[in-house]
Amino acid sequence: MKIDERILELLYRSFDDDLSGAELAELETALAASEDLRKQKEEIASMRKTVSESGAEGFGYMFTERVMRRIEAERAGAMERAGATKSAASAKVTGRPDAVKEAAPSLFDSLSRAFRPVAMAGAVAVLALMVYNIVDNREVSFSAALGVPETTLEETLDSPLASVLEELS
Amino acid sequence: MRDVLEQTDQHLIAAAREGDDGAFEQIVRRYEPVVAATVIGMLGHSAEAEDVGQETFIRLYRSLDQFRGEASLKTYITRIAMNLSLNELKRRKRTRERISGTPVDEFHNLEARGERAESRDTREMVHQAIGQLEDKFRAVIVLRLIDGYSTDETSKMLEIPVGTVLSRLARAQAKLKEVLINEERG
Repeated sequence: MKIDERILELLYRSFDDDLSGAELAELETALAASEDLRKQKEEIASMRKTVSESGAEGFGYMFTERVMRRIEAERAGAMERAGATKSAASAKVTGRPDAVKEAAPSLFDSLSRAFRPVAMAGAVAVLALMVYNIVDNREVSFSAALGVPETTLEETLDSPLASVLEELS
Repeated sequence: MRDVLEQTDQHLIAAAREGDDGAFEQIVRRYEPVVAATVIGMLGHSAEAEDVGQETFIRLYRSLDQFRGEASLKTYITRIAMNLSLNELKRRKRTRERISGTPVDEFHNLEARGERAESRDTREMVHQAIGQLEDKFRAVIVLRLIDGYSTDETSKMLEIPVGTVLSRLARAQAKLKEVLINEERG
């Protein structure tokens, strides 16, 4: 026999909610009249008991230790990222959970870290160029290193145009 | 008894905030079964379940300063565990859809993967039956029937009306009953 949808809904609700007086009376009348409905009620109760007893009791051996190791690793990583900043020092000293957040790198720290290799490569390139200039000019001086030859005022004034004028006169 | 327990939780939280790792370790030991019931109820026994379990406690650790004690620590932790589990289910669904190229049905039949009911104990059978429910139905079953929260607490935790909790519970139970009875007859 097909059970009325509304009665079935009341039956399910009766396990989780307080039915009103009228609803309870309606359900009880239906239960008294229907063997199928009583069977349904038993099945629902049995199913709920089985489900409620099925909760897992844990994640397995050494779960807590694994969590604590992750926390330590996270804290150490945060301190490493922050380098010698005040927050990191605080994190190291106190080991407080908020130190992990405090030790998070700022935008400036991130940028300076990102540009450090570029700056190093640039310095090495400039140094190499200065050595090359010194070797090329066969002279050890600052101007030679910069590749700027020393020129006297006389040499500057002694331009090709001056030579031509001198010859004409 | 409950007051003493709550007081102890508060004490442990205060100590953990001050950097006492031993206090936080006690919190993890105390609430591992609570988190496991929620996460394994939602995700089944899997490597991801343990990852989500660990992540739950990491999130708790990071947010110790924000815990004001308005809800019990158990409720606070369960809420984190439930949110992370729902995120993991979404991630799984996206992965399955990417692989198959089609939207995934709301119920995925584990029997079709060739797992036999006879070889599983009741607990595993229930978890697999719950695994066949759509995420939103699974969440109410886990919170209400496994974790034992009231319909009101379940509604607050999932941020849905009590009426929705009740209707989802009814639908989920009808489906579960059908699956479990079939498994038993199976």
